[in-house]
Amino acid sequence: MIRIDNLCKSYGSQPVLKNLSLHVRKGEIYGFIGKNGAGKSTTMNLLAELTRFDSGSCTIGGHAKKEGPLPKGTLGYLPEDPGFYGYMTGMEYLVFIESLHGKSRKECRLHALELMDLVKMREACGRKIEGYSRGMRQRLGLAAILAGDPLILLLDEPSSALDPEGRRELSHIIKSLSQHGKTIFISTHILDDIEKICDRIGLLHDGSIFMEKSVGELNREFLMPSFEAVFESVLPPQALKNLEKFPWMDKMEERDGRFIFHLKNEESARTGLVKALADIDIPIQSLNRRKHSLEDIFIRTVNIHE
Amino acid sequence: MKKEWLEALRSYRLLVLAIGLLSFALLNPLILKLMPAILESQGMGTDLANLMDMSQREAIRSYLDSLYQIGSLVAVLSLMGVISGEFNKGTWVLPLTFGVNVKDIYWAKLSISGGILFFFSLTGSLIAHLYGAALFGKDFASLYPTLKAGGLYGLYFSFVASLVLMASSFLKKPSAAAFASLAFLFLLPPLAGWLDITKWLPFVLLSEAGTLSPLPSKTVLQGILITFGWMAVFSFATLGRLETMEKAR
Repeated sequence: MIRIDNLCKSYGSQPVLKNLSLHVRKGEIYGFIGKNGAGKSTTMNLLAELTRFDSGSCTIGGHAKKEGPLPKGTLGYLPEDPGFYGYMTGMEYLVFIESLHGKSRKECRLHALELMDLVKMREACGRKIEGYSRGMRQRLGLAAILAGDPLILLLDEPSSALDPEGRRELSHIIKSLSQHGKTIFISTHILDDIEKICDRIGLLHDGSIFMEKSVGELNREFLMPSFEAVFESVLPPQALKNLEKFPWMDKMEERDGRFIFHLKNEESARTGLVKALADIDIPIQSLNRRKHSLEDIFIRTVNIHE
Repeated sequence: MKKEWLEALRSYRLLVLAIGLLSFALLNPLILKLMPAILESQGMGTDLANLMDMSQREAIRSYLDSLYQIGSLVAVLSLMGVISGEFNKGTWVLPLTFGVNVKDIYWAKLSISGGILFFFSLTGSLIAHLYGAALFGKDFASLYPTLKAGGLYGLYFSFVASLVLMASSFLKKPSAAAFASLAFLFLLPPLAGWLDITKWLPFVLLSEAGTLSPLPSKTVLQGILITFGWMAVFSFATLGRLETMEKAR
């Protein structure tokens, strides 16, 4: 549904996208992650035809960019901080957006109410948007982009202003939309969110995709055994030095009184680590296997790349 | 169009323009009527007052002068952020991604702004005419000279709207757009007079309106065409700018 090949974009002499290539399949939820300034929003703006690119090609829903504007109903774009006409009420805004799709006033109102229910904004629909919180504006933005029932949704940091409950609801909505055949391209820095909902993830770094895999593939490839231990008292420096010397120990770190042991080989961990910790004469409060989050993988791969 | 109308109404632009363009239609004839008494109370006697033309014609002329000076200022200040505001606040992003053409956005803004300014100029002139007649007696056999003057001013303000929209599309700061527009409107007439090119500028409409003549002069049609020409040039430049500019913040 979205195909980008060797896309380049510069602002003045500053290149932002360097031969960016990616492919998003129909009905897929594609997570687009990268550091601040990596070019995520620029890519979104390019796809939404708000910005021009310098070279490369871009096809959306089978429609090449050079062929002219996208047909109506192809794309819905929710920017990170969507701008609204603050003097309108939420309901008026949705009816206005609905009317852009050529619907009758009655149809506009009915569909707008449905969308307000979907994003849990029914109670606030009569209030002026200028009084909305940022989270409410993001919810309204989501409702607005669904007004035209687009085939492809571009969501730029859609949950950045939402509370945990709002993020959970958004995840459900996105999953449900995907099940109804929508293709969703989502960028976020809240990696925990997209880890749960995305089919594939593209890691953007320095203006190009340097890794594009499914969440399962990422976990398999980057799953390094690591354990987290909490001791009843402070570990003596010598004990730490001894632990570092073991051949299966990759790296140790201390975070808020917890010790995290990254191991080279999982088999050795089961035997060597527990034995080595037991040899230290300090009682252990807890010892747990750590689950690698997408954030760990992201930091690790970016560091390797740099 | 409906959205632009709602915006003019809810952002108080309509109210500001109504006050700015209509209030002088009531104030100027009244001030003219009270002027002899004011001068007398200031100890200046009645000689100075006798030199003044106390008539309906003068009341309308006085209104038209204020309309040019204050009306231009009010029009520019109330329209200065009309396009840059869409960019700065990102409000046009959602409509644009739904397939709304940037040209349609521009024409809607120009139509509503120009239409409101035209309507208030015409209405203000009519009010000045009727109020002037009530205060000083009738000078005119018909409404035609006043309506012609109001219409010409209305067209001039539509030209002002196209100028401000153009400035607002090129300059992201509303204050910069206002400054550039006001400089154009107030510095160009003396410069044009010096260069003897006034007849090629929309200001010729104002001179024609000021005559309050019942008969159209031969320069009226030329002035109207020249004004439409300038509006076309500004619209072309604005649309070119809007088509090529980066629309994301």
